[in-house]
Amino acid sequence: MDTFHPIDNEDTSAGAEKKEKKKEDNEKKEGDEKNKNKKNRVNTLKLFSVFFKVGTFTIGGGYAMIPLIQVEVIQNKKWLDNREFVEILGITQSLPGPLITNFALLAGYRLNGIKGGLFSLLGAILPSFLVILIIVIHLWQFAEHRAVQAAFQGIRPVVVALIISAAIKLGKGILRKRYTFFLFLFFLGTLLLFHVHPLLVIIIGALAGFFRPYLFKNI
Amino acid sequence: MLALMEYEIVQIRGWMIPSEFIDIIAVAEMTPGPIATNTATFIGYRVAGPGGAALATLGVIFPSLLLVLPAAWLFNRYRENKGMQQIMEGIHPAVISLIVLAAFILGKDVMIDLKSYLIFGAGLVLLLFTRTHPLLLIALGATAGLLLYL
Repeated sequence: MDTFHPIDNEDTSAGAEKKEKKKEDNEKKEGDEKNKNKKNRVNTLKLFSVFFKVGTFTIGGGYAMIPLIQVEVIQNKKWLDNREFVEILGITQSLPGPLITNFALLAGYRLNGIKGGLFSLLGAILPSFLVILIIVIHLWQFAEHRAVQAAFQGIRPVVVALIISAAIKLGKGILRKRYTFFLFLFFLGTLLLFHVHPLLVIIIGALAGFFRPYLFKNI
Repeated sequence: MLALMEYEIVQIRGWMIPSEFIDIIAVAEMTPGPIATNTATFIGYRVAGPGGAALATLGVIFPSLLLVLPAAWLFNRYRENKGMQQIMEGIHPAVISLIVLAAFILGKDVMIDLKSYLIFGAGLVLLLFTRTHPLLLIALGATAGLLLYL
């Protein structure tokens, strides 16, 4: 099962011509990459348990997971840095399907191939699956209980605060260049005023980034 | 997504009545995890027991599984590429703006009175100026809710 090397792919599939030319270079790089890969490879059970924790406390939709992942995966475990996190999130937002399941798959894949992706996914969805089974079987009235309702009324504003602070912390870390900050303001304005589809800002962002050398020479 | 589910399950298949469907969504929003998978688990159980719950949940994540794995492979393969890095740099601001948008959309539904603004403000101050763990903050929020709303 351990034959999948997401990071190694770059070397094995590079053009033959290029490989010839840079053979020496590549051999050295291959060694480095393998070491890096080994170091980066994260135990599947650890992936499962961290995403289980994240899945358990993601209440109120996918975006509530972001602050939790930030603390668990970036700060505590240091599996990903802010940049990688935002990149994975970008792909997640461009694909259909729930945010947390897509994210768990992508991050798990990045950290330990297909196996890592599947274990992370399982960890992320198992908590809600179990909680719901328990509720449907035993506690159907639980949701209507006044105390539960009151607690949730307190939790919801906290979730909003969590998401905002996650955006601020991420933004501080990666929107360092002036043009990226302008793009951010432009996108936010567009999203709030014109209700455009999320995918549209991602596509525009990708194009702006790609043509940046021609478009934003001065900023 | 929910609209599509309602159409298929209530209108076409007649597996449940509309009010039952609305109850299920309310609970799906309160329980942890994505609302799509939660709703699927619920409906699967109601219609066909625990096995139905498991299969319905798998069904709702399967399409993204098919799309996400190739995307993950492509991304890992080309992430060191110069053009790809430029693209990613342009995507960063889009991602952050979408996170802020999510907060705005959620906030519109959630900030309904002075108390909710107070809880939100206190939470934000704690998050930005102290190292409070998100889970502790959620617990504090639940406590505040019990004290203020019960």
